[in-house]
Amino acid sequence: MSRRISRVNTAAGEGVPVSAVARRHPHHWDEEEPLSDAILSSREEFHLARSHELTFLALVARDPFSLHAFWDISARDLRRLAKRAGKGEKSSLVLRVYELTAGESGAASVRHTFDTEVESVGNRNYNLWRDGGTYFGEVGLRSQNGSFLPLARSPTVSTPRSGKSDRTEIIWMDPNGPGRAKAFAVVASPALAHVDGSNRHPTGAALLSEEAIRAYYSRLYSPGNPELLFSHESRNVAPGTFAEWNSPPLSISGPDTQEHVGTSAQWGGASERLSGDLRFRLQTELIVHGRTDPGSRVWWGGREVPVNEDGSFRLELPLPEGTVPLELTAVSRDEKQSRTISTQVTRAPTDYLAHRGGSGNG
Amino acid sequence: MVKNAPQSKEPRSSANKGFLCLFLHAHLPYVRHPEHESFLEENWLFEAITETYLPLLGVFQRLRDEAFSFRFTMSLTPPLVTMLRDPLLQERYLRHISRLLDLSEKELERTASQPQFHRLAQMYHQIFSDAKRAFDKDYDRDLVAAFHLLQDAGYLEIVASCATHGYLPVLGTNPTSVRAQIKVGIDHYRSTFGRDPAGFWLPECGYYPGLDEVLGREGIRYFILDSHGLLNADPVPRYSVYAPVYCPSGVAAFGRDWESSKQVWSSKEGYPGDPEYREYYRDIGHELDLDYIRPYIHPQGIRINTGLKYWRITGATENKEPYRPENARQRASIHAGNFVHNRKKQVEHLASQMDRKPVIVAPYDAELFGHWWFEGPQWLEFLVREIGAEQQTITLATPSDYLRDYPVNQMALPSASSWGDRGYSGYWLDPSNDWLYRHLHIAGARMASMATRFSRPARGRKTQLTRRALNQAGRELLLAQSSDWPFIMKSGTMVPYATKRFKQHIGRFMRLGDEIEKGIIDETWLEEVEKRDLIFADLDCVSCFAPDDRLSSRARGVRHPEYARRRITTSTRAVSRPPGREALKNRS
Repeated sequence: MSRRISRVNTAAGEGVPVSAVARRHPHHWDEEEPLSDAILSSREEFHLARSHELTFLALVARDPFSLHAFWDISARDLRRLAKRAGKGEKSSLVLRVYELTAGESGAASVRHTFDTEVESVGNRNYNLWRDGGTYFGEVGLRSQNGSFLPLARSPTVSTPRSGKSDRTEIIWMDPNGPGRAKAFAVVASPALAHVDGSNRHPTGAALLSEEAIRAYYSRLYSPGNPELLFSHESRNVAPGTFAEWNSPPLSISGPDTQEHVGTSAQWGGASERLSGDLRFRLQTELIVHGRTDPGSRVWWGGREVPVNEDGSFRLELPLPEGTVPLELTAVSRDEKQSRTISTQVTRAPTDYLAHRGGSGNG
Repeated sequence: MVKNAPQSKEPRSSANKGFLCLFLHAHLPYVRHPEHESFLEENWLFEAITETYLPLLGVFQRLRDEAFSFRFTMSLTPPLVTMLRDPLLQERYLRHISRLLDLSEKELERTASQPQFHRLAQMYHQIFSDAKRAFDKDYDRDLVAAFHLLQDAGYLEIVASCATHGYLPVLGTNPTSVRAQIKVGIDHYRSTFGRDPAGFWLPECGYYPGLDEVLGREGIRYFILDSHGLLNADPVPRYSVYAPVYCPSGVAAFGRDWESSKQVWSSKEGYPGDPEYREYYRDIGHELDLDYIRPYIHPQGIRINTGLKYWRITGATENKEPYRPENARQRASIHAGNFVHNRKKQVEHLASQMDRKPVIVAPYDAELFGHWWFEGPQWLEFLVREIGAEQQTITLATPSDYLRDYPVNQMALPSASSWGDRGYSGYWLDPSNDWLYRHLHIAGARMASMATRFSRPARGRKTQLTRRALNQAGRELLLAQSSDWPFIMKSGTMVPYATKRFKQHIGRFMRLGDEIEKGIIDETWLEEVEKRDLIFADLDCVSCFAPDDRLSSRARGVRHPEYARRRITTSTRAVSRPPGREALKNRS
């Protein structure tokens, strides 16, 4: 029984006591004659198509610090979008990842985006700066002047925290309790100060409604869209009705809020568009690479960095505005030695300046 | 001291200070190849029957017969149950065990002049004789019924699990696939055990926020998480992993205790690595002369494990010493005593800090006991006897028992997690296997679309044939979703087999989908596929795969717009004989 290997990860951080399972066997079934079978030959083979000629994008939280994306863009949809973009307009197919955050008004806004040029079919991982984030992605055509036409959008996904919650209030629940509301608060907590205390549990504690619970848990809560913690169903931009240039923002926040998320998203407080016609945007990525002794482990910000067999490692990350601390620690294979390297990278706030007459000299 | 939870009931068993929940998760991938006279991978089931399931049943029944009080929680997944109840595989198991008996008799002759190995040959001869008799006569070839009886008698609490052990955090890109895995698994449980399941084993303990809602809609009351899934819950669990929390949906989440896990799983500190225990990797199938062993290995001369192993672990050396069963049994007794002692200390410490009795949740793969760790069943038996005989500090309990004693618990939202390597989804999203999910996602959306489009009741031969094809498409999709395939690909073991299986199931699904949408179903081919992938015979794809309007938008899958509007071009081709004229006449 070669399927099973011990692969439980203990909280102490021990690795899996992986047993190198049974020796591999050749393709014995290819050479055996099956029992008599006129209809379903044992040589039945299926070759999976590279593309299913459908259009979709999916994101999965792989761990607190990485996402996995897979997508399929049909050739037909790509042709139609390219045609819409205009003849002679050179563009590339990119996957744009949006990181969302709750804005001051409580609505969702974009904290950061980053683009990756992709093929029409594929999958890849994305390393992230932080744990506990919320993301969605779009695949579309990006022209040389920076305009972006999305073709498919993923549902919103959230990566887990890598450590404990910073919320400590106690909320008790009795699923068999009276009334529709099953949860109630015993200990008064500032986090729950908004709870309407008119509904009481027999103990006298305030009952939490389902709405209040969702509000408590939603990272991107807004009155119009209380379920943002979890993924929505996929909202494809249907072929033939794909987004126009300068399309209205894709509204995730409630109808009565001012901030929106979408192709004209704002981040870092700076607007990519000034009054005028010239569109121009900039994005930055950071590559961190290094080398340690083979078999050693490298840690950064509480997460382990994959190290190649020769001891080299490489991280590609989006670089937002602000300062990014880089403190990496290498630990030897026998865990008897460790070394730390510390530095930081700063990206200044983005200035968007308008020049008249095509001069770049201000 | 943590403050009291309101309305805590007085526990039923007031003498103890805490509870130990031992959870055995039994699962094997669905492997059944009637098209071959024998098939190597079917040995996984046969080995598990001989080395794990029969020994565990023996342990439970001895304890029951001696009036020991015990409570274990178990999961028996649908693929495993289906295989255990399959007449073809039952017959093949008897053939397998008879062959091993024959081998052990030859070994008795071969080792006659080697006392150290001769008594081991005697041991194996006895084991195989007992296994054959127990399987064929005592249990009438139905091990599932034996576990069922133990549940009815109150010794076991068997929980449900996913249909084909699908890893839900990644399948979750398609909510209808997740719901189908859960619903089909629960329906299968009901038809097998004649009751509703209280608990659910998430494959690989793979959890993500929102999954509890789907479980709750299907009537599940609890599930198990890895330690960090509960420790990182929001807000912070006041009792760590030593009491459950309720998810906002009202479903309880229990967390694995790392201390008790480490003592069994750890390669450095765990019991199974003791030098006196039997060495797994020294099997006579790989060691003895090929001509001698040939009748008992693969017909093509591929050396395989036979189950007869004569060496003990000895230490970190290739020079293994002969196995000594009495010494190993003694070690098992000592280790059981050590485990109980440690749990007693743990419970006493926790009870002094908590205002309620703690529960220590210790889940393991059932196949660890007996197959990987030969002395594991003995250890379990010693453990129960130790707990039952000499002290009252710990009581064996199930999660349902604990929820009966403590119906009011803290509400917290667990963190996405798994018990796989590094605690999340990386093992199933690895370069070796991440190519699977694009196909699974498409297939899942297509299945949801077809289940909705063809949902009208099947009246008349044409719609009945369509419904048959739909149901078979559902089975193929479920089999393709098995987490065993990506697991095998990542672990690097039988990779060609796993790849072939995945492509086969997806390929069959796509072909069935094409035929359904074109309205031309090859009934002869369909019938043969139904015979091959013979699982979930009562599957109703419409109720399982159609989007559930009861769920919130986050847990509901929708009809894929592409499949709603246009036919899908065939994306696979089957290399097989073309259907005959008669088959072509059977147009749906």
